[in-house]
Amino acid sequence: MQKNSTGYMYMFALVITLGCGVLLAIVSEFTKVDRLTNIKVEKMTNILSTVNYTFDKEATNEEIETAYKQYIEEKVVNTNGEFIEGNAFEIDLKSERKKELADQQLPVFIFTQPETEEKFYVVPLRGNGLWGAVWGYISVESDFQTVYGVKFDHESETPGLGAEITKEWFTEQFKGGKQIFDKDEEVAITILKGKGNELNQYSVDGISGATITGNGVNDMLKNDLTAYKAYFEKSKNS
Amino acid sequence: MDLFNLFIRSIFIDNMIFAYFLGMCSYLAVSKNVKTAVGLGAAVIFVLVITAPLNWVIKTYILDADALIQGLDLSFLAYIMYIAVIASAVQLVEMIVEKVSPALYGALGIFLPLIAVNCSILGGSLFMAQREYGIGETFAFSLGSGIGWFLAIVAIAAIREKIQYSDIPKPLKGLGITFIITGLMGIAFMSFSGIKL
Amino acid sequence: MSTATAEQQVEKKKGEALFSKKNLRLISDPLNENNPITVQVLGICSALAVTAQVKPAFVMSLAVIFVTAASNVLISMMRNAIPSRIRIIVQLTIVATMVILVDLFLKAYVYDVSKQLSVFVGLIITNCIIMGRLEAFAMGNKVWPSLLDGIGNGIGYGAILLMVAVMRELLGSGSILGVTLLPESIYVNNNLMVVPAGALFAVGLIIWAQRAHNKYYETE
Repeated sequence: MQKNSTGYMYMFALVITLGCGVLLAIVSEFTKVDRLTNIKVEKMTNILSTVNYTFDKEATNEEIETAYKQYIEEKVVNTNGEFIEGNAFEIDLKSERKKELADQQLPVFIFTQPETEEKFYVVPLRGNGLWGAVWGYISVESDFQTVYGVKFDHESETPGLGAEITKEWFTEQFKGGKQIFDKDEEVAITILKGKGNELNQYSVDGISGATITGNGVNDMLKNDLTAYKAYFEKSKNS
Repeated sequence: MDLFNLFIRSIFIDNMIFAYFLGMCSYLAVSKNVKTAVGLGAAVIFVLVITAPLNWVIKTYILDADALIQGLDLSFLAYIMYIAVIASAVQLVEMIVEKVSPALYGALGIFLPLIAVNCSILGGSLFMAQREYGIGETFAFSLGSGIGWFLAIVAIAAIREKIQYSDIPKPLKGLGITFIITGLMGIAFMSFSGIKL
Repeated sequence: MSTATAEQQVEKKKGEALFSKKNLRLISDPLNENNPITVQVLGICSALAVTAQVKPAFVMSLAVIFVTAASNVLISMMRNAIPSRIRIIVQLTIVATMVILVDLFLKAYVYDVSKQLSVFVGLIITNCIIMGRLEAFAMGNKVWPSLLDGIGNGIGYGAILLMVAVMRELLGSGSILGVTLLPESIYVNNNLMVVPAGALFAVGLIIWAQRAHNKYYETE
């Protein structure tokens, strides 16, 4: 066949397409397990870090998974505080939030402290920052009132400004007895504007120049924690 | 309002050139005079607005997991599909430009087909996929990004025309000073962050 | 047969030694005289975007070296068989396939870095260096020189990337590869280096230094 004939051209194109397609399909399958594991382990690490259970750099995926399975119990609740069927880990908050509030599945991750057997409760958060989604986890002690730890992440906040929510200096503020609900049982935990504020048990300092991100996180905390209110109430009294 | 915010943000804050450096090669090469810069910028807007939504359709209805058939996840073919769509769109634009304005076609020369490998076009589709935009957001984003790129290249072309007779140190002339000016423009554009309408 | 043709035939059979001077220049040229970024003005986009820290810059360089070399080799192997009408698409397909391979590999084995690189791995496809080398070299040269050319240009690209990344991470965060070298007490981090504009300044300065050294001046 002549190199420049149409027939040769189509045949060549077909061979190349098939060749590349097959090669990619093989490698994709071969790496699938590892790729999915990485995403899974990252989520587990985040949940565990919210309850201050951290790993050193050399921790293997197996160690993280083992720790997660050992110390975390997964549950799903609805806005009435009732336990419902569901896979807490696989719940995709983004699509969940598109549903009616009453239909939403709310994951809860219950952590049992290795030495003290104390229980802590982790719930995921998702909201909007200045330029894109922000999300994270917040953990509470068994009084369902005191914050134990938080973890935040974001899509496209400004480095040095909104992106500071991921930093330790910001998340550390939530430890040491911050309270979520006030006397009227409303979500009161709040990020104030800028730094150097006078703080009480409900407030933490914000990020200078990142007021809007701070507001976004505040809205996220308020909306999401209000959704879990019924569950917290029921658990407090049980 | 959110779509409009996204649109404005894509032009000024998430500017393809100043924030993400996408499309630098042709930006640096075709910015020696304003007329060609305008032509290329317009072509980039056009290609972006065609290809990003098209690729959204392909992603949503063919590539995503369970989109075409249950249990089939073709997302590893994303890059190839996107670039194929882009190459075809550029071919289309080439034919249109040649018909409508042969002068512009000649002036742009090799840089017209090079739009196919203009990082900002592929970048548009990749950001659309990564940020999981809906179709409306994709339109707002791609139009804004194209306009942002257009603004950047026209601005730098205008400045380069003006500094032709400036007393720049010889090793810095041309490419070097263009980089530094682009950096300064980037800082200027950063002042837009924080705008919310 | 005339002596001329006989000589020609002998010349052809000798071929090129694997690491001849000419072949070694394929690796050394792109480091300075023919640097893909500062001289050929290719591959700028990703060069600036991933250089806020040294680690992603390093991984990106390795990825580009691999893709450039592999694509150069594959296209060189096929160069006499590719129909001219679909030349560009075939090149793009090969490059895209190599890039997807790299992306899958990163997501599986170096996940944290792949998150930092995110869309910029895909953007290797449109990295002008690769297409540039395919057209300028691989389409007209044998496999071994194409391999060397690919590696050479990849290294030249990587060299600039690392220079910019070291400048940006050191001056912007006081560290290199995450190891703090300039603690807050003696040096306040210059945030300008972390934002995109800093990368542009860094490359501009590198070009200035390189051209002053090479005495290569642009004629308008």
